[in-house]
Amino acid sequence: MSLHNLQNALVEKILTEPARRKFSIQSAINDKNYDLDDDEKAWLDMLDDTTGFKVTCDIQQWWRLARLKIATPLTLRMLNQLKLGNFLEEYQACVPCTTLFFSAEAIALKDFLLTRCADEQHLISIIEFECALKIAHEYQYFSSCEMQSTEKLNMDNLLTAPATEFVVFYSNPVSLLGTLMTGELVPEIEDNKYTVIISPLINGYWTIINNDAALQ
Amino acid sequence: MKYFSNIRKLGVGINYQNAFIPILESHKYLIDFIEISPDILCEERWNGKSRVLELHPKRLETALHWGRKFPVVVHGLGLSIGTASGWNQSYIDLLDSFHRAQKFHWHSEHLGFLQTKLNDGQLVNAGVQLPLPFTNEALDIICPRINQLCARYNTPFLLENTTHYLPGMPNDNMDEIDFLNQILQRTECGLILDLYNLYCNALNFGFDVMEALRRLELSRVVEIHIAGGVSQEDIQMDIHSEIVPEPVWEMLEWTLDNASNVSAITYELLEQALNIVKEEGIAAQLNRAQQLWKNYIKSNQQEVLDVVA
Repeated sequence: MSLHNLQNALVEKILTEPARRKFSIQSAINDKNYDLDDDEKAWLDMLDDTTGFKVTCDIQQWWRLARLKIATPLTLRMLNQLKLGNFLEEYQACVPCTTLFFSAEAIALKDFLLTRCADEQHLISIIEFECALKIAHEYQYFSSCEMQSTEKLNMDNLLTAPATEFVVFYSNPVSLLGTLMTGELVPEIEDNKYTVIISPLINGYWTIINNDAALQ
Repeated sequence: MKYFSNIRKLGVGINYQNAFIPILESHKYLIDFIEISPDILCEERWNGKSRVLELHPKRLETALHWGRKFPVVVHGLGLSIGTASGWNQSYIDLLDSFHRAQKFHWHSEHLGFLQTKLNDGQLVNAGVQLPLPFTNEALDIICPRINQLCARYNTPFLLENTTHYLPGMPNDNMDEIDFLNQILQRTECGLILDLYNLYCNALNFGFDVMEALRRLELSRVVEIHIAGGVSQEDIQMDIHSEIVPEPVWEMLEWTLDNASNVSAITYELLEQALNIVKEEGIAAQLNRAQQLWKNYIKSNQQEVLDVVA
């Protein structure tokens, strides 16, 4: 009936296709109030059986995965090592694509993992760490703020600096990141927690701090 | 439409990507211009109210550096010109910023749409360029927008024909070529004739590509894109990952013989495909395009001489 309705129905059909495939559910586009004419409804139904529609959905998924591989490589490795790849599939199936950009896609994955698997402490540390790194890196480029070595950093300045985040790790962050590089088993969760500060002011963007907030 | 014959003939170029910078240096004798997508120079940021596209200073600086060495044309990716609920204004703001920093010979966008605002107000992105139906309603939506773009930067605006994979959209009352010709009739824009896109559509939807080319308003073709890709599940994909297939070279030769206002040929390659095509492969594509371009210029000059005589 209007191009607007047809476009909305088509995009929603493409975005919900991964969930339809994953959970074997029927398309519900025609049940929605899109005010489509009979030809439009028939066309949308017919698409399900076409290779062209499948390929269109696949392309969208490839690009999305490609963005995540670039924006969150450590998180993807962690998901793989923890054998939690199904969460990535679930993310792609359940969270609609809203962006073609790396940072926004990374943050959407973080939000999903925080909701869906908050108990996976190593995983949450890594996705928070990667997103914070990306934000700090971008801020550094956009504002060209001056970086300093950790010896010269002042914690009071850091605490109020923009694009600065704290992430809690449940094992030594250096060891954990090392296992992601080598593919070894990730370390056990420790009683001891490690706080990492990520900031565009820090040379290399991050460092471990003690719980009393003194820089190591 | 007076200006189409006056647009500067640029020659043969390549899409600008970070990974191709060594090639701009090592094969500069094969490259007459670069085609920059502002989208790859920016990041999407949240400004507290909405998402905005902001030029990344380092990426911009590098692009401007190469813009001082080569003529620049702009090729947008994210305008979503065909979205019925409105185009992507943040892309226009981005292009305004880029235009302040870098002058370009023309700018262009793809015919189609990427994003839409759902009834609940959520802005969603299809993540892939989607086709418009070939209808009068679609023409009524995009033609005024095209004319706005033609007027905005005092430089020509070109629209590119796109590949899609969705068969027989509902209520189509013309085919792709008639639709493109209608756009050209109703607006001031020129055309990027993407020969590989047309080749993909012809293979995927079973039409005669040469018959289609013969019906196209070729006097409005300002730039030609050539590229290559792969097929999956019998679908020819617009993925820019390969060298140009032989039928597309044949289409290029024919088009150059029949389109008098062509100002540029661009070989498009995905950055990630550098490892597949390799530097030598890119040079070979550019070299072959250069030979055809030289013949085209020679024959154009001869035509002018014949008219004067």
